[in-house]
Amino acid sequence: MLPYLILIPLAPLAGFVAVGALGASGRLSHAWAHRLAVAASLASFLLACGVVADFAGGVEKYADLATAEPGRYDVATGDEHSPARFTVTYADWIPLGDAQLTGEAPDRGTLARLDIGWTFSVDALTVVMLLVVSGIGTLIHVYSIGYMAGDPGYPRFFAYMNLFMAMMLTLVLGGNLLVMFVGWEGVGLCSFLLIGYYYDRVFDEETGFTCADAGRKAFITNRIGDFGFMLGGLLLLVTFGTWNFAELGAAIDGSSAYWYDSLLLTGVGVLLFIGATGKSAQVPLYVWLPDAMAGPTPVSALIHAATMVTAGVYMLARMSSIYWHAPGAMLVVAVVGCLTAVLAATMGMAQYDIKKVLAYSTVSQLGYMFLGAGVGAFAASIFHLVTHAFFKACLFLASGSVILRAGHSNDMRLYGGLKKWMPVTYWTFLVSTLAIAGLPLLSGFMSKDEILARALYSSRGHRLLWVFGTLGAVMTSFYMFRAVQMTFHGENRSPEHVREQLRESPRVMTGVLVVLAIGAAAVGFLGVPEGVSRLAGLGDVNWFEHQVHPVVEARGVVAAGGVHGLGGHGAVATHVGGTGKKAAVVREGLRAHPTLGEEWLLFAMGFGVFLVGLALATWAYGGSMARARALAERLGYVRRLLHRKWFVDELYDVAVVGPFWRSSHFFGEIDRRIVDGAVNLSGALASFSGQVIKLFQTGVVRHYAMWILVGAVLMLWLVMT
Amino acid sequence: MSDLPSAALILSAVLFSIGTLGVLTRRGAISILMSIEIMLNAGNLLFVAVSRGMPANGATGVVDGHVFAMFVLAIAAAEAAVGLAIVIALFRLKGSTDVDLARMLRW
Repeated sequence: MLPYLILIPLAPLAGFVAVGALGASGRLSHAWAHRLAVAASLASFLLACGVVADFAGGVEKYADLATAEPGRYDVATGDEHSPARFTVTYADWIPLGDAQLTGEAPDRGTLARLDIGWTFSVDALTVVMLLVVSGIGTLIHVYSIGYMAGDPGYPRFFAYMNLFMAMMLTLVLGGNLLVMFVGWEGVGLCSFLLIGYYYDRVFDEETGFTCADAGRKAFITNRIGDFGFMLGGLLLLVTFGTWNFAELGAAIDGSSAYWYDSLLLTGVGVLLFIGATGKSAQVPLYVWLPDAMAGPTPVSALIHAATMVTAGVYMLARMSSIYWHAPGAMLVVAVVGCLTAVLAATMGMAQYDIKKVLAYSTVSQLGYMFLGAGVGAFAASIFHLVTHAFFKACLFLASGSVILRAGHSNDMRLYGGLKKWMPVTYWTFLVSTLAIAGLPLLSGFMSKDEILARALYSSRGHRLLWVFGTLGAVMTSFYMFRAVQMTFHGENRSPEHVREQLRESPRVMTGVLVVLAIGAAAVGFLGVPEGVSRLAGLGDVNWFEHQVHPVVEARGVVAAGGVHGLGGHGAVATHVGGTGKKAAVVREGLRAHPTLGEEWLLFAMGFGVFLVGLALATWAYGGSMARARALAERLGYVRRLLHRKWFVDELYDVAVVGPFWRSSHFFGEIDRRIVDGAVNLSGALASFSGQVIKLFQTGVVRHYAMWILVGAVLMLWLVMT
Repeated sequence: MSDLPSAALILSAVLFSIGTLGVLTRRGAISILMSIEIMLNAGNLLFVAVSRGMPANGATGVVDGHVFAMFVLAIAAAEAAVGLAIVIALFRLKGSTDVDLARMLRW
């Protein structure tokens, strides 16, 4: 199964072609559009499961393939020095021949054979992403059958969704940076296409901002980040001569000697992170995500919650080798992630549009993922990605269910008391809210608290990061329960015609909600943080971390200061203090091992944060929301600041967009006046000279005779001299 | 004998200039034709003079110039005939032989 990796993205790609072509020709019924699309998506999920099962059975059985065709297959069996990985190259793409590299290694020449092919690879990290993307993607396809029913562009929607699946799967399966970049750009394109799906609709009545504008904003902001990504990638290419992840990892981890400039790696790390900033909506390039809510809700769930925006986190985990060797870049990642987490949470507290609350929540949770990556807890960060995919997708889809039923309105001020009419939506939304707010034992608690604990204890973490992270968690709990209160509890504030037809959504939608909610509750047990399991008297039961850790662990890194061994990894601890070669490979670890008392304190903090947010939200927004209104009156300025998103969009308009438009107009004037003027001038010159020359044609024969004479004399003179 | 070529050359040049001035200055078509004849004959004179002044090589001498002058005479006659035909056509069109009236091919 593993050699047939490429079928996984090919299935939804075929779905895109089929649904797109047939749909455009107008001969495709809506039923067949979704049947084909869901079938394609389901096929990719089943194929992914098959591949995962094959991988889990051990890649050794393909070792003879690798020896038989070394250029095409590469099989790495897992050991202490590298994770298990299966790589296959299906075709050549850019066989560039010999190239001059900038970094000079003592044991390699400065020339390398640059050969970039259509390479796909699978390791433990890929497995996680594959299952999340294809599984949750298929569920959302099913949900869309109900949500998009009756929409005239139905086939177009499903075609684009399938294209997105294909691109995202290419991204996660990519075996080198270029194939990953194909997927990276592809998902950006699909985001643009799907945000602007309602191409003829206005998104913001006051400013006239259309859905198409939102799509453009997303794509352009993305592109700015991609510029950094490309610069970082090119820097990598000219230094190491390869984009293949396996080879890059080996080159960077190296043979324990630092033969490249670590400043270079820091630069690469920061540049790649800029790309992640654009794709995963971090400061300063997050502004597109709230406006991306202009797209249909399944799009918000799939692309802007579960998968596309997590591509940045995946990329960081994939490039973990670079970050381990560039502490400066890691610090940047952690600080930006923490900042984003807090900033977005503040904005989410004052929004009326339920999707915008969830959008800012997504930005904030992505900040947590980057915070985790920035302190070295890559596995925890990816685990948060997984749990977030479940509960955020559930939250978005549940909100979609509400939006559909409440007269297509997103405004929570027109909701209220909906739990009476929409019980399944209510309960799934509530379970997911409990998860994101961090109710102990639910998935969100497991992943978020692991990140916060690592932020505190990791050798690359810092106390302040934990403080602000916890602050963000309080706000997260608050705004989520605020949303629950405003939407499902209290008195109903909907207009009469809406209230009459309030009822639960069809089973095709609620079924998906239930599945996702179960996931949101249960998935946490796959990756129980070591701190929590210690409290329960168990040892380390973090199955998820064990699987993913070999891919993202630090290799060839000299520990700064004392190493107390990695918490909870008994297997790894034996390497420290080993002799010979292993002694040189010392890994980064925790600064200090938390005591049992400290663990209880952290647990209490986590639970406390959850309770504080819940209490505040219930107190303010419970009942008639009178206390919330009073608070809004007293803190008018603050509320306005938060509601208007700290005026960041306005700041960008003034600082970036405005000058850009003015300079564009300026250059346009230059083009019109100077460049076109020059062209017109040459035309005018030609015609003027014609006017002058025609004066010679007088028609008088004697004049012609004279000119003949003059010419003859001139010729004679030229010949004589 | 040695003066003969230089005198003939000067005469030929003078005649050619007179003819040129006549072509450029005269308004009557026939006057222009006559001036052209003068120019042609100046050329003829030149050919014959140079031919006569060449040193004799053998018994017969060089008579290329004389032969060429005969060709030129023949061509002059033909050209005069054609030129007069054009003058007649012009007179039929304009009622006068003034060449300045023939300025239809201007811009």
